[in-house]
Amino acid sequence: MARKIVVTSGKGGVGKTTVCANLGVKLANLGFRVALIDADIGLNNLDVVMGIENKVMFDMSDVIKGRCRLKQALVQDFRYPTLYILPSAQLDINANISGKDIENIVETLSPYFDYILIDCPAGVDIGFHRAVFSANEALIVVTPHISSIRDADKVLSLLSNYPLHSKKLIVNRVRGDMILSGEIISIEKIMEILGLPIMGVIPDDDEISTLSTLGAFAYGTSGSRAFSILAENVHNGSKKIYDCTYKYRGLVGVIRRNIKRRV
Amino acid sequence: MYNIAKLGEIRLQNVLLKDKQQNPKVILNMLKSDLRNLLENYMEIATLNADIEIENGFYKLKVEANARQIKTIGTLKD
Repeated sequence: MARKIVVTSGKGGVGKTTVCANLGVKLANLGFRVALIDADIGLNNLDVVMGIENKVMFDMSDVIKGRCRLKQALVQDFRYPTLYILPSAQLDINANISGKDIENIVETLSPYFDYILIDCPAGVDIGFHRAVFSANEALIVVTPHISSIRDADKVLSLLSNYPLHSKKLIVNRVRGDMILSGEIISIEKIMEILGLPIMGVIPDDDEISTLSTLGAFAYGTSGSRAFSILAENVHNGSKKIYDCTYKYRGLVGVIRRNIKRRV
Repeated sequence: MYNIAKLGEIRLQNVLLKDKQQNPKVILNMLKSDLRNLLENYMEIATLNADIEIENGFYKLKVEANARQIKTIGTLKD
């Protein structure tokens, strides 16, 4: 049976979809069978980030309304044959989709996959509850900004209503130079404030945003390495954390920091 | 030079504290009602006071109940 993990945050724009896509890619790269479910109905973007938007024939609402079979709606990734994406409702914004509908889909997929990652919409309304309903683990994505951490705290209080057996934190878009110069809240402090263990730290990597514009994924960059570590942590339960500050330490690091500030 | 991260932490903690202070009133009344029902299985409650304070980011629940009688074993509900 698959592990069912919802990727959530509360606040929009923190990188839920990017984390979901990249984590899915890295898990598939490790040889696992992965299904990515876009639960962001109406504001679906997982297909675009994955670069499969032209391959979408059916979506989640078609499956729920019985207009196609689940297998027909799943899109296989052309780079990783064990990675599948279930796109969200594109046009049918008012599709009456419930948490139970998504749970049925998740349960149907569960025997065939090792991981099911559910991309949760921003906000804490019906869409959030619909996405969380079928998960048994949660990854909460935050950025080192007050607004994001505050929203994550609210999300945590809502998640306490669900029988999730694991809730862990992913700190995204971390700038090592700003941590060293004391300009953003440290990872340790975020963990302490939210009272959650950390699953991964993802650096602010220009390559990730550039390549997501093309529907591609970075390799060999700091962001890619951080996602590989995250995938290992998710699978093994290891606690390795990508050090975003290492590039900015020492004499060369100070020069790099100064250059980055001036650019 | 200001430590911006430190200032951010202080602001964040204040914001989270305010958020936490807004929640408990409704919950507290529900909790008191449930606690009374629970305790009345074991004793005759005269007064029940409950309060929630926030200390170091944790909710601290204070409950004070006065009972006239404690029920004897054998008379308790199943």
